[in-house]
Amino acid sequence: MKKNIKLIAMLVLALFAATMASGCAGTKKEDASAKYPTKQVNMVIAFTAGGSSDVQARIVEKYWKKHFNDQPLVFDYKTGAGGQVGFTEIVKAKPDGYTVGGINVPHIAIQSLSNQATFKVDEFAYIAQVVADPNLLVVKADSPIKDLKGFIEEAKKKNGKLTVGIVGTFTAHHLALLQMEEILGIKVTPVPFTGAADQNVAVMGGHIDAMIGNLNDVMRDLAKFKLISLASEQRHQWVKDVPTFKEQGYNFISDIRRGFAAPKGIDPAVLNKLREGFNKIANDPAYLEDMKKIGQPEAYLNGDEFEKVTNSYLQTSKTLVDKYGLVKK
Amino acid sequence: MPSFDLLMQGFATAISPENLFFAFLGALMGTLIGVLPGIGPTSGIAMLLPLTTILPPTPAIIMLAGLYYGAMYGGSTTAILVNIPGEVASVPTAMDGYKLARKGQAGPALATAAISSFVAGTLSLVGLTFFAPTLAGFSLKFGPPEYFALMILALSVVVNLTGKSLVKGLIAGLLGFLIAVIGLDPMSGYARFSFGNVNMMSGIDFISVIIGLFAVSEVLSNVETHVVDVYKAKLTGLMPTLKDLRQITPTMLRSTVIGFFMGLLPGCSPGVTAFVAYDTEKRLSKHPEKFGTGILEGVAAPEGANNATTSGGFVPLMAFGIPSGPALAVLLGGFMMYGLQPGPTLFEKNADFVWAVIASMYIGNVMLLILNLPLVGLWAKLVRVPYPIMAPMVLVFSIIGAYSVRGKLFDIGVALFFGLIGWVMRKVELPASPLILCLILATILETSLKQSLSMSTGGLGIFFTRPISLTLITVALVLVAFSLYTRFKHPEKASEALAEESE
Amino acid sequence: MKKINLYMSIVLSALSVFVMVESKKMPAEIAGLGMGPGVLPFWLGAGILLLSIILAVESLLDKRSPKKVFNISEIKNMGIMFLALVLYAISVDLFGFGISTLLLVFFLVRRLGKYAWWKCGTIGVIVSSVSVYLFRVLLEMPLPTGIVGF
Repeated sequence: MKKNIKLIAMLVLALFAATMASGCAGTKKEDASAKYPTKQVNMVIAFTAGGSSDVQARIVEKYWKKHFNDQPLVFDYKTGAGGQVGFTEIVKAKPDGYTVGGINVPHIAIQSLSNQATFKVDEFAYIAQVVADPNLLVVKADSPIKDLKGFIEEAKKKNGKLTVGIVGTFTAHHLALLQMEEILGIKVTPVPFTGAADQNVAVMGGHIDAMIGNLNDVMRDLAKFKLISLASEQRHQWVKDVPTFKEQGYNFISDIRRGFAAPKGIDPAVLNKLREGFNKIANDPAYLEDMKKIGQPEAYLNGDEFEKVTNSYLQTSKTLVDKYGLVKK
Repeated sequence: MPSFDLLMQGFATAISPENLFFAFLGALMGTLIGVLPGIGPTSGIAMLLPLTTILPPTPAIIMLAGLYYGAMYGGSTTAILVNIPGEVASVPTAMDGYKLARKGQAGPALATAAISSFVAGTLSLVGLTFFAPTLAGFSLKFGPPEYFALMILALSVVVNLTGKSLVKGLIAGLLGFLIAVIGLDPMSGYARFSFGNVNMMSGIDFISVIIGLFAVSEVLSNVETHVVDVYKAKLTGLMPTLKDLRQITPTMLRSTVIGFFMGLLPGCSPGVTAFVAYDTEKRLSKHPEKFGTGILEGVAAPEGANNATTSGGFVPLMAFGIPSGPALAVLLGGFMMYGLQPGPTLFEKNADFVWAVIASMYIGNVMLLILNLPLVGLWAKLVRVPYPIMAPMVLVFSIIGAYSVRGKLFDIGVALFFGLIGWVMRKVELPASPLILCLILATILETSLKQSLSMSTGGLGIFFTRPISLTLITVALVLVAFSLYTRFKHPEKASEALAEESE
Repeated sequence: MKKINLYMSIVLSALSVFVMVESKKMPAEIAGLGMGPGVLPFWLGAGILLLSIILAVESLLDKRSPKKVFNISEIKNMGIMFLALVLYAISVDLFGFGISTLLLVFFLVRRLGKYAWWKCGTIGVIVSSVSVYLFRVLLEMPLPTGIVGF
């Protein structure tokens, strides 16, 4: 009996060694760009699984195989530090085209301005923008504040004590709030939250007076909110009766963009393949249908345009950050 | 009762072969994920999320939900058998469960965990079924000041977890806080104690710390003593006796109430409520000194509470789309992928789906009980697997668990570092539980404190002028005063514990 | 225990002073925030300092005879084990998860249980193959492959 076990054990060991040896021999380099992709592509997501960025990327994954040689897209969550960890991961990855990732603007622009920055905006190779999610000024459904005029009056009456929720400080929302204060000529008390979900609850529960929120996050609890004004050029088709700041005479435009990028230094031919593939995905009617279902305002831009948008955000952020002395010394 | 009719319709959907199969699959995988230390429901659900692109919504969500509550059943197993909690929520279970196993009562301990999980899970489902819309309003009453007060209340537990030296226990708690502070400040984005390292900036994940303090340090501590077989004691029966059951019934019921109501609040993860329930039982018990020496109440309380919390958490998730913990946040992502927007409209627009999922949770709990009770015998036999084989296996799975949370090798390093720290802490008798509890609570505590101060533009008065937060803080202070009083009034109990530890 | 508590309080005091100094360097206030990032760490440091002073006083007043806590052979055994784990952490990235796990399990089983080498090897192969299959293949978790590719 004992001998048998020993024999089997040896056999297992031998078999194992054999498979390992054969496995190692199989890896050989091939012409990279022409056949790209020849293996799975890693998708770095800088926010938690199940978050808005992840959900959007999952929709992309649904159509990925069709346009990329039937190779899988493998998700790699590198979360933390408001996305900075994941963004840094993309920049530092090997630029062989097998690591791409989701990026958010203006997050990357603001983070690159910090003196604790771990990347620069020009270290990304931009593939495509897929979402432009406008900011809104929102109050509770039964709030005494009825419209933008009422909001401004209330803010002036409370003399700076009106509380407005934002997600984090030194973030897209924070800058939007500063911008709004300046344009509307008011002063309010910002109350930062760690995420859209808890911010939504604080407004619903009446713990804060108003908030700056994204359309995507506000859509989840539409019945509980009153949407005061939209910070975009035009009204949005999902909330047609919500006026923009612009049409009321305040030139306040603010949104969050989601897109995809690879590390800089990627083979231009591979980058082109990625850009083409994303272009095709973004124009697939089924994809557009899915995007509507998950409530994300679809807005495709190609890589070059996306890069330009990012750089313009970088300029705006720089002005605001300098003005309010937000860069940490 | 309209919800009863709706629930019956839900059952009609849930018992279709396909849905039954996925409920079973979810429960089974949940148990496995619970058993494996480190791999928690969060990474489990995240890993299975891609399946949602293949399956229709009802079976997919049924499966993911099953995985979530199933994990709470499995989490106690390794906590009891090898003193390595499979789940954050099973950290308190290890305190009494492991001692029971060493006394040869692994069977009753495991069975108690399963029964308590079932009773609490099912009772809180009844709460979920009939009061979901009403209860949902409850979590809205909680603004930042109330959360801060709630965290203070939870912190008052620390005093009772300190073991024989109050000072050392408090030091351990503060160290836990300090670990939580590492990384970017969630409010200002300022990097604290990260020394310019991006990995440090993202903070220390508490899963890695738990794996280090429990799993790695367990192996490090045992190599030196060459404990080859700690389970020399004979197994005395597999099931708890009727007397045992009668004894733990009040514990199960109280823990259900605690777990369910705290579960309604975002931020109160099963890990927190398990600690609170354990502490409550210790306070209410006629023999508090026996807690920590291996009694069944010490297993029933945290296991009941963590299961009640999982059911409770579905109330704010479905009614508002507020996840009360990271695992439910991932599950919320699953909802979103189907375009199912949680919120008040979910119960109206997608009633079939919601009630089918709730009904499947009743079925899933029964399945888990049937699955787990016979397994008790099998698991209890596992203690016969020699420690030198069991320990490395558990360790490897723990390390994978640490890695799986964020997919970073840095976290493996963190786990090893805390393994070393844990070894030293055992030596100098710094207790690990206060550290873990403070580590879990710290972020919400700091965040809600800062938010409250922003709301009040700097004044602390905000905590004492709002009725709920005032009540909670008062209760916390009374409890702390009471604990300190009994502690100094009965120093002999402390010396008893001393004798216990120097065995 | 007496001596150990004293040493511990010295180490903790040093740590807390470091924490307090570091947190004083953080900005005390950030526009729009009720409390700067450095406030909480500062008070944590202060709390630990206070408690470790109490601990030091307690242990100096303690009349019981000191118990030996650390002994050399224990530390040596633990050190070897810890070193093995550190090497494992490094080798996972370098040589791949599977092969490193195989070696680690082999080492641990052999050291803890002193079984025959083939028994340890078999357990190593089984544990590493099962975990690779379960996590990398079945659950598509990107476990590092390293240069060996397993």
